[in-house]
Amino acid sequence: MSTPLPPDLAQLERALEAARAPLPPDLRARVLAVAADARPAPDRRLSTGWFAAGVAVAAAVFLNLSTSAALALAEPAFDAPDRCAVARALHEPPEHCLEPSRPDLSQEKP
Amino acid sequence: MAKAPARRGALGPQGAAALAAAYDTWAPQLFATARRLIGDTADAEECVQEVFVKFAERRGGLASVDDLGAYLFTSLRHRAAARSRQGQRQSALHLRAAPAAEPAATHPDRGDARGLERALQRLPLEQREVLALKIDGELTFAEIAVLLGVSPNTAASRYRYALARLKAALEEDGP
Repeated sequence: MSTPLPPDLAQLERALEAARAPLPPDLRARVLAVAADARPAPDRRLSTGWFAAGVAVAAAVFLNLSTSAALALAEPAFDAPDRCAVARALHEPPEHCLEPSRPDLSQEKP
Repeated sequence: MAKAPARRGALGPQGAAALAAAYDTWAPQLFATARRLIGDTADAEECVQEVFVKFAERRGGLASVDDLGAYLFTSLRHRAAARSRQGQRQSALHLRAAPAAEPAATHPDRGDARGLERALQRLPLEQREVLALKIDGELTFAEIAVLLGVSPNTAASRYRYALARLKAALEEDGP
């Protein structure tokens, strides 16, 4: 790794270094403006709940269970918001899953 | 004067400062590397822009980046490889559509960088990558080895082999 290059290759290396492309001066403003507006990347990781749901549906197909029964088995593995979505789909959702009522804005001062 | 509403998704002041600092530190090497890999200035500029946009999108995830240089160069490699492949396809189409005689390449020692550029673009991507990371990215063989997932000795061998092949290509082209 530390063996020096033969003179002809060293000369070529210098030619390549001399031909290095300089950074365009106007690129900075453009890149920073576009990058500053970038939205955070969405989290694409599969939640434990949806993974459990996948396993449950596969089990349902295999064991000839209904999809509802399989999802009901998987329900505790979901994170809170997803658990509410599953609960709403399957049965009467618990109270904490109910959407809060809209505040009465007519009484608010401008 | 009314304060402009904050743009949705815009970086905060700290994020913008981190972004600017990262750009000032790494952009010259990243751009030169992209330019050498892709062979086109406009594409290299877009490539660098994409790298920093991805960097900005990571936001909180940046705390988990141990080596910012390695992160940015890895991001650049993926984008440059995609653009290089795209460029090769377009170039092949262009050549089929309008075959034109290129002027004879001249030796770089005689001041013509175009011959060098053409010879570089004929190198396999694997070799061009090591060459660009070493010369334009100013990375050590140990750093290149980490990026490419090879040993430092392999990175050094690829570099030497790339130079030898480039020299042979230039000699074939003739003065």
